[in-house]
Amino acid sequence: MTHDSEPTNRLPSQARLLFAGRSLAWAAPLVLIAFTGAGALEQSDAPGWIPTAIRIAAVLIALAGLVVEPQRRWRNWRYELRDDEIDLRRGVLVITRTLIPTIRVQHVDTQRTWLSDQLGLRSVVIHTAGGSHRIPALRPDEATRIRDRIAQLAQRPDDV
Amino acid sequence: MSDEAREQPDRPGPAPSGEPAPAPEHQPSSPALAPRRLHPAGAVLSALDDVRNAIFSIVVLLVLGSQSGNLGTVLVLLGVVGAAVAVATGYIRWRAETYEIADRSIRHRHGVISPDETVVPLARVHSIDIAQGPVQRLFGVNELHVQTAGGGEKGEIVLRAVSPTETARLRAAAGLPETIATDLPEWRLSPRRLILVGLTAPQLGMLLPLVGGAFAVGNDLLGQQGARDTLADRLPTETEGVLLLIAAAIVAAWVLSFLGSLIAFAGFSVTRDGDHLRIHRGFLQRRATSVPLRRVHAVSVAEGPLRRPFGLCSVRLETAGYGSEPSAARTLFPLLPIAGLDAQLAIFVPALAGTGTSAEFTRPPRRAIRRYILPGTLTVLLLTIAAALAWPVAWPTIPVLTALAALDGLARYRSAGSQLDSTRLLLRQGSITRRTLIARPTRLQDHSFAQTTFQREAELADISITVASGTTSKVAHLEATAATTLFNRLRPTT
Repeated sequence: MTHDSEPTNRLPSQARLLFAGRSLAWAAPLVLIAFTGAGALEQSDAPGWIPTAIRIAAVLIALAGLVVEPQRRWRNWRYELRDDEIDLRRGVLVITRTLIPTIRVQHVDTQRTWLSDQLGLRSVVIHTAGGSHRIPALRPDEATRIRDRIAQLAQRPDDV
Repeated sequence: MSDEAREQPDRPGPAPSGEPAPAPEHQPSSPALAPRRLHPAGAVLSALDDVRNAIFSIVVLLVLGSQSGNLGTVLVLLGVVGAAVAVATGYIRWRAETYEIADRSIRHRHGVISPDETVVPLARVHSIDIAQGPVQRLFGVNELHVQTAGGGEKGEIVLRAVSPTETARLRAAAGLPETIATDLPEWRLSPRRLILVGLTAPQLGMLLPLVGGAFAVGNDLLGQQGARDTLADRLPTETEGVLLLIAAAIVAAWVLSFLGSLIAFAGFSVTRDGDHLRIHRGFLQRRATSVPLRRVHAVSVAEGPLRRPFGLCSVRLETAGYGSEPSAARTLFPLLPIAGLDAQLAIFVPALAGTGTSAEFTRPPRRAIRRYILPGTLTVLLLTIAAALAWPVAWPTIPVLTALAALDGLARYRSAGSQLDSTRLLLRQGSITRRTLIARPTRLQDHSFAQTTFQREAELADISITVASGTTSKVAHLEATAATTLFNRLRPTT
């Protein structure tokens, strides 16, 4: 058994765009609200630096979500399939490494969204009796290969 | 749950594996049971359902009737027609409902206009649970719930009225053993303990804010309507009034949770019949549940704030398929002296009992204390300062809540730890309520090792596990080397 080796496979680089696209869902409203609020404050008698500070903070947070977070998430993501376990390592601030015994896998899905289709990506979702785990961005052929491999490995009997 | 016929496909055939294939649990002794109807009490239950569903229309008609002045006539008409319709539809539905065992499956047909058929393969049947509501008890019949791994407390198939002899027949045909032996190990909740369960119930904490909120709203309403004077006049001061209201809220919450516990746990007993646990409980609604021991992958032990000082705990089963159930449905022991836990586990869930020669309980190192205390305490400090800036009156919350947050962190540090010996894994966490998850290490659904950059520099790491019920447990800031060792020891071995 490869006991101490960390998982090695990485996500394709387009995954960054997928993560950034997801961040857009909260970053865009955040900037919009912050700029509207700052505009309203300028009309009031609040000190002049406050609206500027709000605008800068909003842009910085949005940039962190759109650039830094996707980059780090992509850089940290690793996965590996072994005969008896699925090894996932991921995270932005907290790096979490999770092992799922293949014998515990109930079923495996591949999933796609509009955004992932535009980027030519699929996600693979691994379901166990205790919850589900997602490999968020894979090339379609790799996603299919992983799904079928896990399904094949999971065929051993288990008594859940 | 859909009413359509559902047949769960068998898992693809066995493949070579390190784990022994589970022995087939149910070997039907007689292969089939001819289609049969429910006990006639089923027709009564069905008729009562109609009456319940019609209550709204009845009320509307009553209101209309009282306005037209012919209340008496309307009432009589309603009673006669309603009863006739209810009895007729109840009878028709009862006629249309049958169950049978054929092709190694339990089949349940019901429905008049669009008949549905539910098919559950016998191999998928975990248990046939028995429940009795007031009507079932009146007729001396059982409500049967055919349970599979996926379903909840309400079974995949529900047969609402089956006589005891028919119950025995069905269970025998399904290959489930009948309890005849009398000297099975049994644990009962004594009336004295039942009252203790109610007095120390953990729901108290959850109810308090609700009741308090209700009182606050009530107080506001009274104040707005000017009726406050009547209340306030009788109270010497405003503060005393508030204190009185809080005391009343606590008492009300206590009474509610006390009654809730009495109803949920009255007559609670656990028996172990070979490889099954049978759990009986309930006051108005008697319930009997049967849990195969091999599906009990973990138990969680909770020591609530009112129980821990007295060395008491409650124990819950962590079983696949029951994860989303209310906690009463998963309770193994509602109240147990923690000193007796290992002895009781040895009798009822031997796979999770301690071996006596226990491995060391690994705690986070002393240098982790500040990581337990600081984040929460600083957050609370900043929030209370912000609150005090907005409302200067709120300044006393700064020292009080900050101190509480620090105590909470310290308590979490003192609880945290893990222990792994040859048969069981134990993770402990919590502050006000201390929770210990005791799991079979070879039955984990997943396990994780997590580190922030700061933790890596400090050589600390978090370990978390998930069991089949979906329950997770995490121990934070363990020594990184200890966490790595634990992480690797929990990996599947081939």
